[in-house]
Amino acid sequence: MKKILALLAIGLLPFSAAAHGPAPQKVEKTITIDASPDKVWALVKDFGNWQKWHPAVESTKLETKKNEAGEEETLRLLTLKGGGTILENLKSLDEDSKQLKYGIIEGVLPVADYYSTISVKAADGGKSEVKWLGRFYRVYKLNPPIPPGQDDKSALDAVNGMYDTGLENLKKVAEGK
Amino acid sequence: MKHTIRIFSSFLVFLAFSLLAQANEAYITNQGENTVSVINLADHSIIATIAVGKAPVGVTASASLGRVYISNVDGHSVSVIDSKKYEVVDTIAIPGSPVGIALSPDSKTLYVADWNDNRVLAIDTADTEQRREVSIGKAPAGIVISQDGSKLYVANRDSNDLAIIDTQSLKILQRVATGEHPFGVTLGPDGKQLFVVNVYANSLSVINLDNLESRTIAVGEHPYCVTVSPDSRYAYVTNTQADTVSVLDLEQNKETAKIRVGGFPEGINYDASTNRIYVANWFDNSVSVIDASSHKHIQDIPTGKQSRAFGQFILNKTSH
Repeated sequence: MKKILALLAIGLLPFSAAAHGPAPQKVEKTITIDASPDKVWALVKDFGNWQKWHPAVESTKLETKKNEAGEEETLRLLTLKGGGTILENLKSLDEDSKQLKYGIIEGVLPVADYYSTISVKAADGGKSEVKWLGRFYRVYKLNPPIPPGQDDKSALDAVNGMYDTGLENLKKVAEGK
Repeated sequence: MKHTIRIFSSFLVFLAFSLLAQANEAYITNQGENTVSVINLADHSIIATIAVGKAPVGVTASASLGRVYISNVDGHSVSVIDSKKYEVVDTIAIPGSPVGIALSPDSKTLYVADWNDNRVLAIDTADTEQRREVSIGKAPAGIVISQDGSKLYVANRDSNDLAIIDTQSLKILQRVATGEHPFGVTLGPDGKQLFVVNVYANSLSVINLDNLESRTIAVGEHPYCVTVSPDSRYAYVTNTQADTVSVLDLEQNKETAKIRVGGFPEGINYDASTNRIYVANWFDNSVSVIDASSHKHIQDIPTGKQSRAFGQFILNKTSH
């Protein structure tokens, strides 16, 4: 009973909005692909053409804009196959380490402050290893109770799904199967 | 003869290790597995992995109490670790989401910032039921206390300022504007300057505590935390989205080097006993070690999942 009262009391406290909650979530996926790192990297670094390998992406609109700091920034608007869009920005593209970094500005994924890196490394036997890492927060920014669809699990499921289906198909496309 | 020398050198090595038994230690919070990794800073071995509350983030260590305090943001608690036994000896319930955590210089008061309720709790370390609180700006993040214990400085991430609080009355004395989204803070070794990292502005604010004038120095992408060399010559800032540490020359007032470290570097501390800098890497589950004399990245120590180490995570065991 005490517990229930305590929970009720927490629910009654006034909250003011923060930019995001303090506990970020992480998704990390790797896949080995039987194709050269150069070939795989060519697909990954082509920021405006992920529809070539990601099965969830219908099309991409690429554009360059000045951001708030007055710097040129590369943006892409992904249109997804099931409908809906995601607006993303390219943060960096490093040819030496074959690593691309990007973030989500807004879109249909149930995540907040999403930041990601995807990199290609040489593996044994002329193969490649692709590593995709994401850091993000759930949509709901305050203490519980959390509305359905805005919790950690919804955010994790969405990103896990995006990485799993993407990497699986990247492997097929790069291996020419 | 050679054999004798070998035995003798082994003895010397043994002796050296015995003398180093009281090495400083780093307490690294691993948010993704609810543990703290304790690193021996003389030989970089992992001494212990301690289970704490859910989603540990912040750390503050007291040599005089032999205690290390860990804020568990999703556990809504603070875990108290005994630094001799390497085990949790107490858990303090914190209503809300504790992140920033710091001790008064005399270790009598523990300050804990509650991110979602926009307040800071002041807890008596001798009797944790005794607590006071102060309401401050939006999303209080990094906190630090002046060397004389009279003032508490709080970076308010979503109101873009630093609040200065009188620790006796718990009244806000002043607010100083910072860059956009201040997060990590540290006090300079002489206690006269305060360093605040501005996440969205990609900069470091250096605030002169005598006149509250501030200057900013540009750093890398999405910076989080800062530490300063004991001679106050250099500041080191973790750039989370560049996987680097910016070396800032505080005399020239600019960045002079970028050191590549692990993925998504967060907490950073300078260990004066070894002149090394330790950086917790959230993406790589490791701690990067930087040699402060050469500014070279010399080692990565595997820790636990999603290492953060937000705050003063080094326990000074050598000078006590």
